[in-house]
Amino acid sequence: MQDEWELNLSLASRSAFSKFEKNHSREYASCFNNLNKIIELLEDGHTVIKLERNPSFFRSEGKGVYRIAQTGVVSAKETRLYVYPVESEKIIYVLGIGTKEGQNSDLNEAHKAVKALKK
Amino acid sequence: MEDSMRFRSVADAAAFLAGDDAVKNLVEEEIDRSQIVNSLLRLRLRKGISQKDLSKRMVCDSSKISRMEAGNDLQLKVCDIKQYASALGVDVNIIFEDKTLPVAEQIKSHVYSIHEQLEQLVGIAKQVDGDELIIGKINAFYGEVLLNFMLRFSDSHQKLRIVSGHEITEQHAHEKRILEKDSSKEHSCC
Repeated sequence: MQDEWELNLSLASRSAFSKFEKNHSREYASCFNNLNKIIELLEDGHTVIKLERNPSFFRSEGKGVYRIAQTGVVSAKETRLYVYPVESEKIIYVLGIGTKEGQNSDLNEAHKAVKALKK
Repeated sequence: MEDSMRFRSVADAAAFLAGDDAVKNLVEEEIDRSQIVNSLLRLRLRKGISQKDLSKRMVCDSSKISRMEAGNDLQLKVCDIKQYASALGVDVNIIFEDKTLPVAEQIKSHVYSIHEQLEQLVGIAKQVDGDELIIGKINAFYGEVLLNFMLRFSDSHQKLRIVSGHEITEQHAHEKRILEKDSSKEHSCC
């Protein structure tokens, strides 16, 4: 296990992220900023479970998947960045990103990716 | 696992996924704009205080805390920062650092500031009315500060001597070995 937390992008679709960023760049930057906040809190020694809803933009979606919302963006499109933190390895898998409207299918894909990873 | 898919920097990861290097700057700007918010949040969590508890201490709705922590620094008011920190038992000091000052002046300013804070520790030692445990810890901390300062000063000074062409003397090397030996027995404080 490395000393510092690391992001793993192997499960993320670059085309999906690229498309989303072009359409919602402020929300995109905000979500990654919030991801950075979570990583800093994990580096401080807090556990993933303890951080759930604290801060409020970080929430569990079950099966180890968490969502990080955009914040502080005026007239924002509600956005979710889906991640899968693995505490034992200090790795956060970035899974997907999408709007509230697409959350059901996005979450479905995220859960599938985690299930495949665990095999 | 491909190393190319692993990132330490969130901004780099965001740019990679977006396929656009310019995104890195955008994310870094967002991160820069959230430094105070981030510090407040980390402080609250480090102290194990919930948003609800903090809102009681601040005599406000917990939604205010949530909004503060969800926003960025541009959305914060100085009075809210002070109130938030104060509710956690933390003082807020605003330091104006004049970057146009020569480095030597900046160093002097920091040295004076450190001296002031060390004097505060002396004040605390006086207030604890002979509590040997606390005074002992303050004494030990003083020792660590001095040791770490001397090590770092010695390290910089040696580099300066190399640059200036003056060889490090045997006496200096001997002193440094003693300091390094002592530091291995102490906990690092900074």
